[in-house]
Amino acid sequence: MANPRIILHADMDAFYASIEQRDNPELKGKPVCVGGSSSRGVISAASYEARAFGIHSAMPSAQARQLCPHAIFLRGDMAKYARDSKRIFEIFRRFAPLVEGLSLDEAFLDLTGTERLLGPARTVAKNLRAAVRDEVGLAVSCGIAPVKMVAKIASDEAKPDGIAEVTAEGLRGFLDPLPVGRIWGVGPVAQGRLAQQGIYTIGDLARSDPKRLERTLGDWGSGVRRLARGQDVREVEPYREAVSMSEENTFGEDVADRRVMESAILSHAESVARRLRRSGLVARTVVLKLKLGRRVASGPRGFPLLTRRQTLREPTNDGDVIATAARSLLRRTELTEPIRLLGVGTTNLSEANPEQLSFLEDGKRKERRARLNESLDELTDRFGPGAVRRAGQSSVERAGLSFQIKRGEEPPE
Amino acid sequence: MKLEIDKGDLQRGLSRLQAIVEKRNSMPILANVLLTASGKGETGALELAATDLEVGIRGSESANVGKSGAVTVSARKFYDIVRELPDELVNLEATGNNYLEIKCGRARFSLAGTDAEEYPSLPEFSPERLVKLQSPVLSQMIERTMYAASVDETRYNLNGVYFEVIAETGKIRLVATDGHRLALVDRSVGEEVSGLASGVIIPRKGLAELKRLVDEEDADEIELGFEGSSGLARKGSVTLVMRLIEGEFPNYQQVIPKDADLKITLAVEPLVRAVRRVALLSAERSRAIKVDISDGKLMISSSNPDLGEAQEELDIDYSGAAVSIGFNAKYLLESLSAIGSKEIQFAFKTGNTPAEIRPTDDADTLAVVMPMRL
Repeated sequence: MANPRIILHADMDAFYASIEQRDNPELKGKPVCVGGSSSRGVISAASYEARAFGIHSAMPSAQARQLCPHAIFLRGDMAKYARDSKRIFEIFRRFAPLVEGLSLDEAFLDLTGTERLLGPARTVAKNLRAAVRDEVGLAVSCGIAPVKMVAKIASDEAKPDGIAEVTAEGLRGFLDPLPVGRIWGVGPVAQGRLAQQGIYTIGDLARSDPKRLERTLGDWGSGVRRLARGQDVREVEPYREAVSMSEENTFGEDVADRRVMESAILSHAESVARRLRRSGLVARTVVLKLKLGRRVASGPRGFPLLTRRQTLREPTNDGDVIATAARSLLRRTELTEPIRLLGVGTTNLSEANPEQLSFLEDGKRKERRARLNESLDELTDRFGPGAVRRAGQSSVERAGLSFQIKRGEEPPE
Repeated sequence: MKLEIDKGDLQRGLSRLQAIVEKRNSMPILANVLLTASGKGETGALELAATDLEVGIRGSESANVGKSGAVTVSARKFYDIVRELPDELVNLEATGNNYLEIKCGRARFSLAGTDAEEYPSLPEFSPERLVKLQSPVLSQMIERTMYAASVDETRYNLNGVYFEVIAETGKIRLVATDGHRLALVDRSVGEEVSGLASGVIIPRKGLAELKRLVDEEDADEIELGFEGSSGLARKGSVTLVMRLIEGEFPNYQQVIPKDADLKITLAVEPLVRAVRRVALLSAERSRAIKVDISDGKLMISSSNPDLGEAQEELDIDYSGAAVSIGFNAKYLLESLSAIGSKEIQFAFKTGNTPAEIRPTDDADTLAVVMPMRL
């Protein structure tokens, strides 16, 4: 590689649950679940003691209670977590010039070129972990690697409370035995297709025939193969909108029918809105992303990409509002050719304010929508995505090709 | 037009119009004051009038009139000039081309104006029934309700205060709400009021002018009357006319909680101070504070992701169910400060239902505040 980089992925261990244990000594050493205190909710964080019972985030709390009846269930305090997050990020910034936040509790730090000033990456990781522990009282695991994706996988391997370093030389040896699902964006659909070809591990993928891979996964195949070989060219982007949520899909065949696009919009908007609500957030800006089917260059980025954004009058976490904005963006976009990918995103996120109740009818309409969304979320939590659909929201096959890191929704196990 | 007038009288007459003409307006002439001299000699009068087509004020000051007539000039500029004049008699004269010549002591101004004919006429009407109200009573009623009126122009029917006569009690009632809080006050005004109005909505601006007029110190009584979609108030030589809001005021009776049967009594001042302090760390936009009521204790708290947390406890006499209610601190503070009492009764039911605030010494005043969902 021409320009070897050193990337550190810092990921807080059981963030919400650890904060609760820190603030309440009685919880230390006990299985603690945050979120889903009602019988129908889902867990948003589980302490390592709770994980020992098989509890993980995004698990319905009813199931968690079965697995561990004596676990302590807490409602959670987003404001408190956000404050801790802010302090942690301030510490991160002391150790690297470039910090890209992925969510409240994880970030990429680009350590390239800081060695003379701060020492080797492993020393930086040690000092960073000590600083977070001393100043905030929480454990953070660090993964170090020449590329982002591997750094993230490494921090996972380092948990709990550890450091894992993958050098350029050791990179293939580290990745090869891991299942393909560990690569970003390789979801269940892609995994299934790969398994049919006898590709189970990242090593299988790296060694596979690029032509055959393209037949299996489409144009995306060569990109995935590069990732499997540890070639992730993406840089740490500090100015990336650290708080954004989006959902996208690549269509099985390029789509020209706007009704199909609108149906995909509705599906993505509902899903994004649900994740916003689950994270206690509202979004002010809606982004529509369209990738045209016509290839203009090689590689996964070889398709023209259109993005359109609209800022709303007031922030929302209602799927209907997001879908309406995205649909109007679509209507205002002139499309002369079919598209291969459609995404709906939200940025400009902020914490949802408590809602002022009203005693007059027009104010009540918004309240009713909020209550409706609440009930829909409960049903989805209980019976899984797709349990409830709005009319017109057809099931858009998710090829699982999204590079987005999702907050509020854990990837399926 | 030619006359001589006391500087103080002229200044007072002009000052009263400033709030009406000050607003930017699409018709330039509405920035003017219409001056009309009438009568002859010492018994003459100068009438000063202004309108923004929604609200109009007309007042008369006594003047020594040499020649009757009318002219209009910039109300703001004329007022600025008069304020700077020495305390002497002021000579006013309309000269050719609608100029107004102002002379006082050795100062002399020539102010460009417009033909009085072009000034829109104020609605002339005399309601069949004018009722005398005590100024301080009306002033207090306005103060206690106006804050709750909506400023959201898309809800025009809430952009004012509802005025009605309660037949059973013979009292006047003012009610205002913006959908999130409501303020209501009943008062008897010392005169038979039946038939005065069967429910009209007085716009905020008209009400603000009415309040200003009521608070002027010259007379204890003000006459008020309504006709069609207009309202009229008269105090001494000053007449205020306004266009009422045409629209339906919501059924406010439904808003007043009937089942808020959990009650606590609180001294207003310590409560206001506590809410103010805790609100310092509330989220900037929502101003949300949390009120936890439990055995013998009322706790007010707030938290802001960027700043931190605050809480304060008050002792209360309470032994009912524990209830947590979120409020917009601004709504609570405005209600508490407008209620004009040292002690209130706070009635509530749950965290999602309206709470009621009543002074313990005044059964005719109440405020309702809708909570925030926490």
